[in-house]
Amino acid sequence: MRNADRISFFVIIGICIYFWIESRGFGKYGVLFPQVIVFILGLLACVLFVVSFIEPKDRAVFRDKTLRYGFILLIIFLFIAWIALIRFMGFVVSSILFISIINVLIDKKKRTPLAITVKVLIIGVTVGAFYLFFSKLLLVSFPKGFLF
Amino acid sequence: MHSLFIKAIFNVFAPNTFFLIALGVGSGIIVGALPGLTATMAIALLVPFTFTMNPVHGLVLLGGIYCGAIYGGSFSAILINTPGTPSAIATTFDGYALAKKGDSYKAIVTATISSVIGGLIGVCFLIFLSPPLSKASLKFGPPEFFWLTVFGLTIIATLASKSILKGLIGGAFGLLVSTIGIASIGGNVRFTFGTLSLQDGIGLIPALIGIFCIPEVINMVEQRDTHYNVIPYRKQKDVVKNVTLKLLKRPILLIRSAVIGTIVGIIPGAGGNIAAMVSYNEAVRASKHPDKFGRGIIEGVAAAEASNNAEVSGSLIPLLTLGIPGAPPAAVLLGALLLQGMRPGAELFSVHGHITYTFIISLIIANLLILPMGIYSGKLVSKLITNIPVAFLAPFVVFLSVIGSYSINRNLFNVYVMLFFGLVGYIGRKVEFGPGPIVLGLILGKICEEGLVQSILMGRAAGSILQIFFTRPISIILIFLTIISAGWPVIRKFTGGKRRYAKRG
Repeated sequence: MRNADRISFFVIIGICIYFWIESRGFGKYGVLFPQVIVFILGLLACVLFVVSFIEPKDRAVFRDKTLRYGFILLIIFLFIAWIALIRFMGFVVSSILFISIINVLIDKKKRTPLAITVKVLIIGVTVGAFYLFFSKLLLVSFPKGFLF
Repeated sequence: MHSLFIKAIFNVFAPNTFFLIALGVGSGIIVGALPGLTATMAIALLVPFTFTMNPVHGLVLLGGIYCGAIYGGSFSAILINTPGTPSAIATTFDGYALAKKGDSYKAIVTATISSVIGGLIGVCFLIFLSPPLSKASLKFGPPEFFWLTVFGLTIIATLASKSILKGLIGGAFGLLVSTIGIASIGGNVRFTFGTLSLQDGIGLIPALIGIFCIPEVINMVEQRDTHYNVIPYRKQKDVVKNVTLKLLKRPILLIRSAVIGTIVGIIPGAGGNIAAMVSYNEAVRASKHPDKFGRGIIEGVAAAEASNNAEVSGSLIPLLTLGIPGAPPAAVLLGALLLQGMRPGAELFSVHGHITYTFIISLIIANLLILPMGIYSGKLVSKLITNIPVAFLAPFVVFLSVIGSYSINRNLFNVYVMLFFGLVGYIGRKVEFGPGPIVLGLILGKICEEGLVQSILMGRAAGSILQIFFTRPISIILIFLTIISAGWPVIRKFTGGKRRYAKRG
């Protein structure tokens, strides 16, 4: 991605346009503050755009060759999937499953069946302890899902 | 009053009461250290249990939790760059930077000592200045709140370490996000994308957890070291002695931060997060080496922690004297007082004087107990967290974030909000938009809007909007402070540039 500041400008202007259009239907007291802020935000974005030409630094991001972006995206996808599946799989089951998967993926060294079994056990006990603490002591009822 | 004080001192040292204070502080530290679990939540969860307790026991337990939780927030702020409570946001700036250098224990000791000193100064204010200061807080109307938030927003210049322009954009974005939900004046349903859960607005806690926690987790995965990217705990000699001596050489820093914390605590609606940020900003402005802040300097941790612990007592001043809670945890404490049949006001200091003064003295004990508990547990927690492999720590931080954001009102929507802000925070960090200004905008947005619109309404009724904004005495002071605060980075740059020029010459 070349010059992140210019791309930021387009994203911010997009947000401003959306919020401005949405705010047009509000009453006179509800519209004042959001429109003032949208105006200021848009103005600041324009300044950023101009500055990106006056001081054209190499502001490329997501181009660090030492990083494996595919792997990072996979982990982010797993976080999203974990949170999306809590409702269906239940808090305990989804947490044990996804923490175990992410752990195995990150820890390249210890991938023998025995090591994985030990890790899953540790994760299961820790998640279980947190679950019991919150659900029994603090009376926080977590989503149960179809399994547990 | 003297006899009540003496009676209160005896009450506090009764074995049951003392044990409950210690229990409150200990459990408060644990709750505070867990990201997303706030002091408000801990007190709210325990209020029903105190109903059947003796009023003294119930109140000292809750007071201990309040003090412990606000302090405990510094642990995760320092060790994993995730404020355990919103009050610890400013602690991350230098605390985490110190931890990255391997000085996590030094940062925790600094946080502990500053919290104790700040907390004790705050209690002194609570004892001696309650009546006059609480009267001053009553003079805060909508215009004063508006100018207070504008003054708060000038802190962005300090928070945005890389680019003031990007800091301002982040702040404006935070302010815009704070308008999501039902407008407090006018009742419009704004920017909810048709989602019912957004009608209450964006939850501050899930947003905070996401924006501070998730980018850090992804960063851990990026680094993929065997351990977390904090340099493993470095064994050092005489940390407590050295930090104590260093802090004692800076009494002004601690006193100023505690005074700021107390004053912000007195103002209703402004919590420990604002207190710590204002105090941090003032520490930067007063320092001879402002460039060192944010890179791991104990003064940064001390300013934030002395202030947020002093804010605890500050928030109790208007609560006990006028029934106006200065901060959300104090609002929950008000519920506990009312449950016990105690009404804030003069009656609290006369009819229930023995209970009230025992509660106040118990805060001194609670603050003192933080010292041994923090110093000993700090070493243990530092070693523990910095030695957990990243393969365990990264998913478990997400796990705690899920618990923290879900537990607020047992709604999965908050978990989605947390994740969304986490991704915004990660991308923002990549393009150099720091989380601090966004969070500041989010915190101050609602107060700012209410102050602005209510002031305009007042102005219309009075015949002059400008008069309402610019002629009230407290507003004038706040405008003056705003101009100084906003202009300071420019002045600093100019004078710094001049000095450099003179040196070269």
